[in-house]
Amino acid sequence: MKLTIRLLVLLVASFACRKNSGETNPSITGEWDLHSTYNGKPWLFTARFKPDGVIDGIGNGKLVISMKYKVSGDTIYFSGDPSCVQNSVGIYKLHFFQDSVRFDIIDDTCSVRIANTDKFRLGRVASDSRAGESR
Amino acid sequence: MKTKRLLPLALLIFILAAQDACQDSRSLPADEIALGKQLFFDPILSSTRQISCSSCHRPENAFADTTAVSLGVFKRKGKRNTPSVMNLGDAAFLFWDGRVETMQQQALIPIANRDEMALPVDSAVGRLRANAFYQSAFVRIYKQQPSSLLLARALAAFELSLETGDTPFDDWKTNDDSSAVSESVKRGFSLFNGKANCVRCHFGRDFANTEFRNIGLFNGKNLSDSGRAAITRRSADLGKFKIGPLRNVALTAPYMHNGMFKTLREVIDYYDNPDKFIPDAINRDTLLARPIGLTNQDKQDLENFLRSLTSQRLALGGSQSNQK
Ligand code: HEC
Ligand code: HEC
Repeated sequence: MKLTIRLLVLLVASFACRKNSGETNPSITGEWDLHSTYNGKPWLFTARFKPDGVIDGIGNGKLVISMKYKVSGDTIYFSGDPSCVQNSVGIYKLHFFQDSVRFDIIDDTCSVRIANTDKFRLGRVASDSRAGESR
Repeated sequence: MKTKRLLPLALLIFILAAQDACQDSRSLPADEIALGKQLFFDPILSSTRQISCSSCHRPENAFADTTAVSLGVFKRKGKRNTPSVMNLGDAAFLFWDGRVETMQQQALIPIANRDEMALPVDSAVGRLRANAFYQSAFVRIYKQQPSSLLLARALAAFELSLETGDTPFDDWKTNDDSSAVSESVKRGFSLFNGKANCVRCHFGRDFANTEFRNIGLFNGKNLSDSGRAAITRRSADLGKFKIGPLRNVALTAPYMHNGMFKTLREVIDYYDNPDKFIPDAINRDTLLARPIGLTNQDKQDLENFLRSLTSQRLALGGSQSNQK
């Protein structure tokens, strides 16, 4: 009896969680960007998180970096950064806001990636504006 | 009768003279990029008035040369391969050994170089001041007489305008059009970033690097260019060279500081197994310590990826345009 109740509670909880996560956990897939300046000139960085696990980072119209990522819950795993030793993985917590996302370090030993990722905040590129632009 | 016959001739002379006068005023450059372009293609900057920057930096070859070393005035041979001057906006160093850091510092060096244009910079400036066209052009753009500083500025402005991002690769990655390149190009890009390790040295917007590395083309014997070490006077820099952009590399053969590889396939064969080519290299980078073990297909894929970095405008022969 106790066990059944416990199982029931667990079941209900897990359903609730699933519903919850479906509604409030936005997906990283898609395009995010950051407008800033670099060497005194405007710098537009766009990160394209593709469904196949590839991130393409584009700076002022040219690819700057192509890496891999994997998401599990609120955690993102980055790999394949050419500035890090091979097979090194950086683990970050994803914080989603209304129109932006921030990456907070959980575990990473690659200093270049930490400098480029920790506390980095990107704005969501409105998907409908992109659809409007597309050829 | 006589006058009738002379009339067409007089007319022709008049038209030619008018054209000449119009041409100068019509083509007066609108901005410093256009002025720099005019100077880049003008042999007035060489002692013999026969060599321009574009004699070696050929527009149809992405502003590189097609021979291992180029010929300057009096057919004097240079010592290194002529690199492309495109996509250098992010370059931290110029020349294979990185001996200068900015385009403006660089621009006057070939003019005075005895093996290239062999004209003292003062004489070059003197020629520009004595030339009505350049006189008006400099005054129009800079409100000043030609000077060495402004000459360098104009040349640098033109060179920095030579960016190319109109490649099949950019259509694929930047414009997110996965049909812009073949499956072979995509595999080649994966190899470049993975098994072949190229990305460790060639990365960023132009597949270049601000570091100097030694890929094994120095043995102190027949391959005797010590590269960066001659500038820094550090033995650790023996045989290290600048890592320039790989954009348009399909148009810039032959390759490397000495132009020793004639094709991209040779370059890839070299990286696959450097010892097969140069077993006695000094100070070769540890990234190239072991053969990569590329298959024939891998090599073809890598080459196709490198070819996908070719500007479509250049491929069509529209080389002189400097639109971004
Ligand atoms: C006779 C051939 C020749 C002529 C003429 C010539 N160059 Fe060069 N250029 C070279 C060679 C060879 C190098 C590489 C030399 C080295 O690294 O030591 C070079 C390097 C350069 C670089 C550096 C590129 C890089 O990636 O580091 C620039 C920029 C450049 N030249 C611009 C010019 C300009 C501007 C002129 C005209 C004022 C000019 N060149 C005239 C042969 C030439
Ligand atoms: C250890 C760093 C390093 C690695 C790894 C590396 N390169 Fe290079 N690459 C260089 C350097 C340095 C040069 C210039 C060397 C010279 O001229 O002596 C160069 C030159 C080149 C050139 C000739 C450029 C020109 O304009 O002449 C090509 C093409 C090239 N690399 C492609 C590749 C490919 C493809 C790979 C992977 C298979 C690769 N590189 C891996 C450092 C590297």
